[in-house]
Amino acid sequence: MNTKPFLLLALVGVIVALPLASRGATTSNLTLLMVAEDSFYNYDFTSKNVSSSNVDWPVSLVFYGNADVNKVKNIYWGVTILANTMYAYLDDGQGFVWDEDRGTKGVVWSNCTNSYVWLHMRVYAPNPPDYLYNIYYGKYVIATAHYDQFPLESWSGYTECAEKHLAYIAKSKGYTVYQDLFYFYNYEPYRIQGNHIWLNNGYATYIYVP
Amino acid sequence: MYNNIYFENGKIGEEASSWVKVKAQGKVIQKKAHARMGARLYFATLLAVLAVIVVIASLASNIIAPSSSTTHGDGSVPPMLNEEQKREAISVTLSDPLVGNILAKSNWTLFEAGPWTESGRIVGAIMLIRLERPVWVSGEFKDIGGKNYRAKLWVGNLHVLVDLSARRVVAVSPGIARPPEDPPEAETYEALRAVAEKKLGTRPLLAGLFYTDEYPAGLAFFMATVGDRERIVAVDVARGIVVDKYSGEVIKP
Repeated sequence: MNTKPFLLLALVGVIVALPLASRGATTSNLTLLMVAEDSFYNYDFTSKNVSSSNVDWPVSLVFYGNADVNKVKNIYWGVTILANTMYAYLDDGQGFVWDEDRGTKGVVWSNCTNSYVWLHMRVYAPNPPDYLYNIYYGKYVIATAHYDQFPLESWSGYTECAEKHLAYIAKSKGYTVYQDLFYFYNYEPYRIQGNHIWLNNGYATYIYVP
Repeated sequence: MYNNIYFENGKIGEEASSWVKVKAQGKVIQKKAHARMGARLYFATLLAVLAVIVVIASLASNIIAPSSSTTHGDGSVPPMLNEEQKREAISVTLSDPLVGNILAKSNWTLFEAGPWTESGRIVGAIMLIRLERPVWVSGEFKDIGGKNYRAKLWVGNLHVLVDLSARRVVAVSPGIARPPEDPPEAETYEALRAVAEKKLGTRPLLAGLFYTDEYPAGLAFFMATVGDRERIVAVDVARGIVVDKYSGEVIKP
């Protein structure tokens, strides 16, 4: 797959309007999840402020085994600068830290919306070392996912469709995927808030990265 | 040609081999070699299932449910549209001149409908309408993000935002579809198509043009499929150059 055009010329396109999704959305499901000695919130945030009125998207993907942030982004389009920075608050057993990320992003055809959309995933882990670790998951990262309207980015959302799309891409490249494996307490029924279109079944997909 | 292999009483391995009956051309015969193969297959399947169970069990270990001390929110379900509100939203949508005109040209499906909420209160409805086949549309759009822009495109879906109390459509966001053919006015854009064709190495179809603050003269999108690969190229109408931010291979499911 040739993704170079998106990666190389991302620098040129930075002047293009950034998404409008920088305003925080509100959820009633923000909570801390714990795995072994690790903890992370089940949403990312639009600023370094843990608040249910300051969330961006639900955490809906876990890449585990021998994952790190860049390795996971390179399964898709690599690092992007064509997006706003968002934040995750997590603890790898040594205290809470903020991580920030713009994510990885590319154009896809969505069977969900029946149109071309941007597929955008932000990947989080304490940096350094850019991964979390516990004996159950090995080296792992967490991620949020959504579509952005193509090309104007006038709305963002459809986490559930984006999660399945990312799982499909990973699977097509030979990665082992466990779709909707565990409940992450972030079910969001279909609705719009600002330009945030919510849709998430609350179950996270796990992808094994060797 | 063996049609069926039977395992009786859940026996497996060597013991099972003598119980296996293989039906060949309507006759039941004993065939130990096939029984062994069947038993191995059974073992392999069992091991694979056990492996998956072990992986899932190990991943599941120690996932702790959220506690009240770390929960920011009451976990309540947001307000949803009732059936009357949905009917009202569809009625308002169909009576909108722009949307009504588009939907009259193709069969369509209301794929999703939900509330438009502000401060936890329903003020309207959001709908995702998918068209059965793309429709070429030229119009002025007020988008969900609040921007106004002009566009010509093959439309595959519409996001429609309806203010229920004012009974009016407040935003329409069209989604670009795969172009089924060139639109009627495509010949106007042959010079732009030549730019895209040079980049793609094949003659693409025009998918749409967007006229925005950044591209007042227009940004044209061309699509081409080469083999099983689908590519998109955006051309700046004013400068006649490819805009790489919007150009590249499209990943399709």
